[in-house]
Amino acid sequence: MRHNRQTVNGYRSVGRACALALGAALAAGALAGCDTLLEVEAPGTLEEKTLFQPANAQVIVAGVTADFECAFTQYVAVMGTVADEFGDAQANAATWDIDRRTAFPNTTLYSQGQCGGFGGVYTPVSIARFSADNALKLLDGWTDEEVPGRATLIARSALYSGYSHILLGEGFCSAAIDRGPELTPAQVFALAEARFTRAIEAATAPGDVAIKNAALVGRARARVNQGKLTEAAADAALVPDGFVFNANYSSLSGRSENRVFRSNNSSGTITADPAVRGLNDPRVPVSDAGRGGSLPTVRLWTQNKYTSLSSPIPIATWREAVLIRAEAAGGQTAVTLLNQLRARAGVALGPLSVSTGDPAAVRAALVEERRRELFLESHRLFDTIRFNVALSPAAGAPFPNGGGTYGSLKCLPLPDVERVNNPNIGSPTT
Amino acid sequence: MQQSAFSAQFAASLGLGLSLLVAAPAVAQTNAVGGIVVTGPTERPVAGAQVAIRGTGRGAVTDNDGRFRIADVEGATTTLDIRRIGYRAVVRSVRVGDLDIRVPIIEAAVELNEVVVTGTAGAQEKRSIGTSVAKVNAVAVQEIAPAPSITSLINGRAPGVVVVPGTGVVGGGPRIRIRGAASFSLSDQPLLYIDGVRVANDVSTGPRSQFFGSGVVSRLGDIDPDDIESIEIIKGPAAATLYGTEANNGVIQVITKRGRAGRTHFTATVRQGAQWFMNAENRIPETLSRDPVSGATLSWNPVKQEEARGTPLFKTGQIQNYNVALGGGSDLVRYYLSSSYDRDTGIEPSNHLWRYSGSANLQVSPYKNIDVSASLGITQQKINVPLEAGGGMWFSAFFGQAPTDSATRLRRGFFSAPPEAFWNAFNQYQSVNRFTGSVQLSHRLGQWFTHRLTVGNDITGEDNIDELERLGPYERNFFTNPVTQGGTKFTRRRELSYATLDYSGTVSLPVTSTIHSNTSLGAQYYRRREYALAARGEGFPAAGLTVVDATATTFGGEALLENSTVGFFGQQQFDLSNRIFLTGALRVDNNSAFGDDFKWVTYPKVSATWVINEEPWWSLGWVNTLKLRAAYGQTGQQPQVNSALRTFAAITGGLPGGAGQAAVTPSSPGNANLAPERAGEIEVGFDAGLLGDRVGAEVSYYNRKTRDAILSRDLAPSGGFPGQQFVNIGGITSSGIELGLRATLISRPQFGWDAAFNFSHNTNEVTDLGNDPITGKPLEFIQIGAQRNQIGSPVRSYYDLRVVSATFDANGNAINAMCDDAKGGTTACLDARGQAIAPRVFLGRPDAPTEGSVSNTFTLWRRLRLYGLVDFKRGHTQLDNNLRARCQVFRLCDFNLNPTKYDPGLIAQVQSTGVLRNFVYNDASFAKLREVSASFALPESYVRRIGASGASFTLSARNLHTWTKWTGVDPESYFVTEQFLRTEQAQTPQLAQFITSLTLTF
Repeated sequence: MRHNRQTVNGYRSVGRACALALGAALAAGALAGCDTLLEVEAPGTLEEKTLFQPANAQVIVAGVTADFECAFTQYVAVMGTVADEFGDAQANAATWDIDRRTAFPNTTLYSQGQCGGFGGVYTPVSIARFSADNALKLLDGWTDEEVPGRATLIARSALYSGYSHILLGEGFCSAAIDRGPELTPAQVFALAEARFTRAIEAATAPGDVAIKNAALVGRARARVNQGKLTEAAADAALVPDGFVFNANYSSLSGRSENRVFRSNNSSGTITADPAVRGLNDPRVPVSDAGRGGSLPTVRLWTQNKYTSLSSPIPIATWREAVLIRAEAAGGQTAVTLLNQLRARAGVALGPLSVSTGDPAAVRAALVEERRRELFLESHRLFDTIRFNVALSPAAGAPFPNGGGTYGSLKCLPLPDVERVNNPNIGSPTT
Repeated sequence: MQQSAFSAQFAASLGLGLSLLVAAPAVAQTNAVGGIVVTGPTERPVAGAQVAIRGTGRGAVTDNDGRFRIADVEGATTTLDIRRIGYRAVVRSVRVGDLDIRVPIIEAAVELNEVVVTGTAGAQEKRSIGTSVAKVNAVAVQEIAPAPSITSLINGRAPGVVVVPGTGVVGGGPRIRIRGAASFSLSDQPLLYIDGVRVANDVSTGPRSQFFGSGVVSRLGDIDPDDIESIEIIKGPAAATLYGTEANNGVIQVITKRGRAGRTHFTATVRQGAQWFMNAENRIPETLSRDPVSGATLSWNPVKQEEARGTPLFKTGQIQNYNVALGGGSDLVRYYLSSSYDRDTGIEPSNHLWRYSGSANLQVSPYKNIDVSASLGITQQKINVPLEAGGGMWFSAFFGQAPTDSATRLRRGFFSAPPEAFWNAFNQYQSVNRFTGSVQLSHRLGQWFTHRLTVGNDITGEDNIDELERLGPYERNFFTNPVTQGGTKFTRRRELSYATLDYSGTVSLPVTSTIHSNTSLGAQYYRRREYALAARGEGFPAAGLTVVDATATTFGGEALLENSTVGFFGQQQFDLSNRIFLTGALRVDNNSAFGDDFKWVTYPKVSATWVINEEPWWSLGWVNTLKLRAAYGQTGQQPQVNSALRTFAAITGGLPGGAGQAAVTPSSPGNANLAPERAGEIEVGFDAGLLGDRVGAEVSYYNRKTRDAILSRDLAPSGGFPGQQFVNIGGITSSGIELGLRATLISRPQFGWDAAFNFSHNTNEVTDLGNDPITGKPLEFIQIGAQRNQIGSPVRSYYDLRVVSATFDANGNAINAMCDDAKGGTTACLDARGQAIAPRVFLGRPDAPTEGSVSNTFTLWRRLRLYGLVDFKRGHTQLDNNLRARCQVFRLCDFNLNPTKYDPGLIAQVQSTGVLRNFVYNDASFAKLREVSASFALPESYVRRIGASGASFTLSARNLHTWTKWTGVDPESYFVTEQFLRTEQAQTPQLAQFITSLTLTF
């Protein structure tokens, strides 16, 4: 703005001094105080450099457990829907691909959905795997003096790493670890086996029996998946009857809930599949809810195995160990073991009527008993793959909720979000 | 805490201002000048004109009667400079002691002496500013066509400034986008200031009424248009450099009304109106289905059905506004107080608001060289919004079908429940308490030094409520989920504050007899603090309970986000004979959101203006004003708070049986190198007054290049962190032209005709997406759902498969779908599994490249003014998800019942599972009759009978007609939360409105 220089008056020098002093004071104060002014409170932000200290080992491993438990319940609900344990019951086109078995690599729900909602599974399982392996790496760099109970924490982290690998190998057609190359399920199962071995070794010295037994069941599962039935049976034989290792849930937050109960019984976004209705088997408790699902035109059937948002879901059980032993043994031994499970208290079902000399019949009985015994415990999808169970409904059948027809996908493909952003894997599909 | 410290600082500043008021010595009045300022031909009093004693910095502002008085004037004669926004400046020599001066002023097409305060170092005349500054005279707009919101004031009145509405619900507020897309991932909202203080500009706040998690309330809606004097908008980096980091999207400054020296004026305004969904029965499409028994075609129209039933689906909403204002004062103290009350209802029972707002402005001039100005504004409001988009009455009405069994008859055909069930059961609202206060201290040392200190705070408290009471027996028929039936409550308390500390000073000295130097220095500090507390409950044991504590299961959450910016600027301007102005400036910023490895950032600016018509050699008489201008400047856009940090989040669980134990999970991968986006813009243009200032033109061309654009890049999940990572790798170029034309076509005492035309065209394209992490080569595109950032295309263009042809089989199924192969030929769309194999091709851009408005004002017999404004947007594409859901998902169209009547290429899309859908990407160009009004100034003889000094009566209407080929209900309906994706899906359209307004002045 222009001003007339004739008007410069007597207090100019005083004013100039004042102005310069004020300006200098402001500038000096501001410059000196910049760092202070830029300091902001971030009481809700936990930086990695703050967290990764030996004193935080317990909470880091607690995170390993929590991440796995969240991934596990997501996996049970979603993969149960891909398989024949659940069906879709909502007016959300994004979820239809899961039940319809038409999830393409570029669909985002199964690949990028996160804990706390229905559909996300690849990302939660990958995070669980990372958390566990990252904890192992940190614990390996710390000493027993720095971290009391370090061996138990290593055993626990290795256990959940092993089970995370199991879920990656069983649910996905291929997988990647730490942005590494694309791995086949067999390669992933081999990694799982190694983690379980580490867990067994680490749990032995401190005498952590629960972790050790869970790792034995896990290693047996990994070995079965690799066709090492004899070694698997050996591990399974070490698991005592009655052993159960659970994933624990609570209603305290969305991500700590039992998602099976939330998605089926609470929200009605999935319904118990017709294939599991009316079996009259206490191991497959399913009932008609008497109402529609989230999509009102779909009748809601609910599972009653998990009765609340806080119900635990078994990760490893003696029952699975027995089934592995039965699978490895075959013949009469298998049927005997299956009948022992059927006859136990609380189930009280009669013996199977199977010709023990017919391997195919024994195998079919085993598959059916696994379906019922391990109902909603994360096994059904991979059982349909390795036992080549017929798809239900069959591929090509009309999909009632949103049109189209059922596809033939059993495993979920490695998603494009992994391919595109992983420098060690090839180009995306489209 | 910083918050309380700053509040104390603010209170101290306010106290200082008040103490100055109390301690101010009385200014003796010796000789004075006074009179009245009127419009040229029509001789209406002009309020708000600035009358200054030349060369002294002293003056007065005309009151509502156009009168002014300046005391203590030295000498026998003096020279008055009279200025008013929108009028030509007048210089008048007067005799000191003359109190009956009559000064006619003429509306100016271009006014170069107008003072601008936004984007400048102190107040500057428009002639010295090298960029365009859009200025909206809010008082004039409110007189002729009362606007319900600040965004309505802006819409169509500033070329390049685009209002993006989203929903027509009462209380909903739009986004604002200036000069097209400036960023891939960061906010597109311009900075908002009120009287020099930065304030909340949040959009899409409030309860999540648009399903899938988005709110519709904008904080701009809190500002009462009746409290606004004018709005200044600067549009890009060339103009906004002095705002530094955060200013890439431009700046909007609201200047509130001030008191004027003179007698006290009291103004009362009452507005009453109605709003409705025009032609609803034909705009909500009828659905078609087959009778399962007879096979007959059944049609269903919810609007007609409910009308026939005597329970209309939509009601006529009511608009009520009451405003009183008081202003006046002396040379020493001037004041303005106002208060407004609004009570509006929408077209659904669940949509209504009340709002109380008050403002107080106080200006004190205790000494000749000191001015203290204090502004206070408060708003209290409650906005109830209906469910839209993926739920509520709208979804049920759009996708229902003719009832055929007992269950659907109970729902009367509506998709999931009849409308009254939603209205009875669901309650979403936002309660707001907002306070905005500022103190500005201006001090002058002679004519050579001026400086200004502004301190202010804007504090907003929101309660955002999603409430579902325990359902009664009727609602339980439709909402069968036990969680829903038991009732839920989700309440989020959000406290948002902005603190501003702004100092600037200018030393003005002559260099030679013709060159003047203005040197400015400044420092700014801004701090944003957002605190959120959330509680959720499920399961009310009995009806009538509505608080979270009364639920069986409760959840909670708490969050605190803070961000602060410190910046300094220096500016040097040379003024050559008051005709040529050369300016250079440098801004240096730091922000708490920058990564650890990134510190200060510097933004330069240069500009030049030349008022060429004032050169002695100028001889084009018909061009009476011509300012040429050019500018280049840079600004930044800070990353989101904490996005630079690699963080973990606290979670519960994780130990055997240990629900409730503390645990952690990977949260954000962070990026220690994260820096602000930087945008550099060149702007050239001219401001011209032609034909004796009857025609004014402002023309600008701009070219903005954003570099280091922050892209939110997907992460490979196997890396262990969820979601996305912000990286500085992108580039965007945005260029365009802006044209503002104003013309006084006829100006006679009994008839006047003024017209205005605003136009802008924007071209933007992606220029850089970084490198492919696999190949190391430059990325060609990043696909985000149905949109893509593609090199050479506009930001977030729609890219999807385009079906070119198909054939029918014997059963009416479309087969052999062939798609555009992006090379001029065709290729099969799908493989045998139904997966897309054809390439995605460009289907359009979401933002209109072309927008503008045309308005006309006719003045008859000095008292009656007729006004109309049509605005338009052209060349953009939107996603008609109503069409997709109705025909492709729920299969309720004739396409589904009689497919062979239609093009098999279209039917191939309809019959696909959603992979093929280019039929829903449609041209959303439109023109809308936005405003029409008739305003009548009542004769003084009638007015005086009731003791008033003035009265005016206005009839106005909004949104009366839309010209468009858009296939949906309204081309202005979509999700408010989306910056780029324009998806119409069961939202409330823009409502037609009719408003009567009566203003009395005493």
